[in-house]
Amino acid sequence: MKKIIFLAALALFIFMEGCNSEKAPVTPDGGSQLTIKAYWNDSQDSIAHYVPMANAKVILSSEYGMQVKNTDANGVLELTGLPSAVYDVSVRMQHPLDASITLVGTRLSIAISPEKAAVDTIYAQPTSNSGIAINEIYQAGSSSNGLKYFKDQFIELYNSSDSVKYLDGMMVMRFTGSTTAGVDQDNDGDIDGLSYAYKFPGNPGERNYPFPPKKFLVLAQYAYNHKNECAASIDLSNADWEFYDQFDSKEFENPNVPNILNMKSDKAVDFMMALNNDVIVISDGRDQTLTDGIDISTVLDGVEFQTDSKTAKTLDSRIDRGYTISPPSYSGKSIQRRQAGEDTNNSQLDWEILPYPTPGYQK
Amino acid sequence: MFKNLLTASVFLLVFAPFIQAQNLRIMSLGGIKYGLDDRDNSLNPYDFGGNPAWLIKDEKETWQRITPSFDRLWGEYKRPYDCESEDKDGISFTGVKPLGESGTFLGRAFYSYEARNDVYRSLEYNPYGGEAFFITDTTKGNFRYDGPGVGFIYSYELLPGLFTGLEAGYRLMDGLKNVYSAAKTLYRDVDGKLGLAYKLTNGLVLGLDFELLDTQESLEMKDELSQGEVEIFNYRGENYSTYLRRAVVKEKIRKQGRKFASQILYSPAENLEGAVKAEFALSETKFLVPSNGLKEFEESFADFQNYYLEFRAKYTPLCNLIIGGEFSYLQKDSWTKNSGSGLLLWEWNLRRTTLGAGTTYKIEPLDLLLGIDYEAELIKADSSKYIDVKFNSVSGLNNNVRLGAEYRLLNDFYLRAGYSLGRKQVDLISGGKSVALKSAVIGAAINIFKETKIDFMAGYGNEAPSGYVDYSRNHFSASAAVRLNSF
Repeated sequence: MKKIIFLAALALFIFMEGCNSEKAPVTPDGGSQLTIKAYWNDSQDSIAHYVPMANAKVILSSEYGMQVKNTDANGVLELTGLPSAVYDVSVRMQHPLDASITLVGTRLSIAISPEKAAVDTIYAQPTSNSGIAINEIYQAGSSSNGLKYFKDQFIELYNSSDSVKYLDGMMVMRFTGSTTAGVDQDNDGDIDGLSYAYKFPGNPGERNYPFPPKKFLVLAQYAYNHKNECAASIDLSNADWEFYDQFDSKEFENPNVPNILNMKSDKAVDFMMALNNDVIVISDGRDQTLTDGIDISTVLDGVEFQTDSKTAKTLDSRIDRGYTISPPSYSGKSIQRRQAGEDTNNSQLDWEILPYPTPGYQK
Repeated sequence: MFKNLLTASVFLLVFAPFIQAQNLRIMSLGGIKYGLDDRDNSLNPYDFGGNPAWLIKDEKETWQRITPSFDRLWGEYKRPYDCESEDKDGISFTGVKPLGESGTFLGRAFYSYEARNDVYRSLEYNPYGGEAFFITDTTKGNFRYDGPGVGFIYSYELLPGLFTGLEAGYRLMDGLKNVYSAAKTLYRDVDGKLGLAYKLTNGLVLGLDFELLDTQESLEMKDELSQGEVEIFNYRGENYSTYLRRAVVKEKIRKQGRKFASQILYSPAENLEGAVKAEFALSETKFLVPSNGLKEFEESFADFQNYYLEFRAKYTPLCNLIIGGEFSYLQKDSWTKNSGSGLLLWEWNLRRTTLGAGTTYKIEPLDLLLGIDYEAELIKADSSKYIDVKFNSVSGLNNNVRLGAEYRLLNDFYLRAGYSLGRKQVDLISGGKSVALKSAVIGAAINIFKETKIDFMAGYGNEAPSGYVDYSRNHFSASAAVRLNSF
């Protein structure tokens, strides 16, 4: 009898314990609405006059990826059925009177609550588009018949201004380190973690190497027809510039292409970019003291690329507030600005992945 | 990307017992069960309720059985993530040994091999588990799963009239996709059950059992080596996904559950018996992703609650006539949340009421047994997929008729045949409307001397929604069982 009572009590205990289950959340995800109203100021004087950005491109970015939509004729975009997430929104369109100007408005970290309707107004500003920017980075490499190839890497620059710029003394750099790449470590106005530094010939202020307006420049790791090595690769034998490590006696050099030279004798290596995560920066070259970091005020542009959103961003937000997702290694894919030279200092919204590299032109 | 809203809600693998092998005789007779007298179809806690405590009373002889089996599934009528065709081969070994006063032992070992061809995107062994989250890549490829399983039941008479039993099972399987993302699966399943049965009087038996289940599917996908051709996504709902980019993507799907069941078996007269079983099951699925390489982070969580009640009765008015019937009610409730935000993604429920009746009649002079079953099933299901802003409600009546015949051709040789015909107003599995079901089975049994019995069955089934041409799902199955009455 005692055994029966014991077993009954045990069964009851197990039943009571087993019945504990988690309760369903009260708040459902999804069904949120976001209304974006986009305006720009077309006033010629100090009194603002905002007009709607009709048919402007709207880029929404969240953990669920990126969506590209358009505003209607009233400059309004209504999005329904959105899941709750934090969205970055960028609205952009060409200036109706001046094609060289892009109107860009950005609103970051719009938290959309579940089942709620949110309205946000974005006022676009004309972006300068008046300087040199990194326009395309092809770092992923390619592959063919089992050969994995990355010597075809290149960086493309674009002069979006209406005037000739000069490359004299300009520097192209790579910053590495999991926590220090492009970080202003001592809060002294410069970025640290410099790994590679290459320099165009001459000195800042000189005018020997012109960069014409609305032109692309391709800076190749090797100015070579890489199809000879890897069928899926590209021909860079006509690149505009070639990175050349003068400290390496075995370094390949295309005599028909001018060189960008290595500034670090202790780093006798060609300008190779990491396939997945890296920080690339160009500066005007006024700060050539490499040991204490690079002065942010001399930086012309900087881009950080990463494999996914879970990797911590490091590049100082004064240079770039976001990062762009890099294509997979050896995929033959490239990353490029959505519009040539258009730089809102947020790579997350400014850049996109291309299915193939486009050296010297915009897809 | 489309994923059927309620699919698999009735196909949850949770609590699928893998100790009890299918009875080839019942299968050969088209699945008739209500009026069928069969040693594995008795109204007792073990056969009817799966309570391991009653094994000692159900199995009195020593035997072993070897069962090879072959299944093939093919046809266009399927869910998006189902394979286009599947071959499943297996072999199982079951042995029973009564140990006298020390109880009764049943042991089982099996090995299964599954080849799933042209699986579209899905990477999970059971993609329609009823959760709102799932993992996919962007390729269509073949999966191969194989692995062994073992299990045992031990039953013992604790006190006069009070029986206890313990059941345990372990299954291990690994899987591999033949194209990138080259997904590798390590699937393991552990199941344990403790049962009690009390024979109150000669005609009244009470049973109680408690079951624990733990299933884990570890997935490993390669992204980088595919050179960008293949992308891997974690879906929340049907439309929204997060893109996973690592050289190697690892994820884990963990299911844990517990089930309580009770049985009452009552026999007021020698020719009349009835049984009731009630089951309550709770289970949960967690989607776990590694964080910082070591710790696992719960990405999503799904909860399931099942209630099941079944009543069955069998009446034998004449020695060669048996009449039976059944009423059952099944209720399944489930919800899924995004564990990071704590928000509800999907809620669904299913109600199924079944009424069935059947009879068998044996024409003694001809040694011919004839049987028929009829089953009507009323189904109602509601789904609220909040994240996709998708709300559905379906209901329908499903009918099924089963016919079976067994003819004793020679003293020790039997021929069997079965046919089943049905129509589902709504098919919750594949999403079709007005689906016609038909299947035909043949079988045979031969006793060789007194020690050996061989059963064989082969069957073909077809499901086809109305209004389509050449759009159906086909199933062929063949199995044999060699039973040795000693070992």
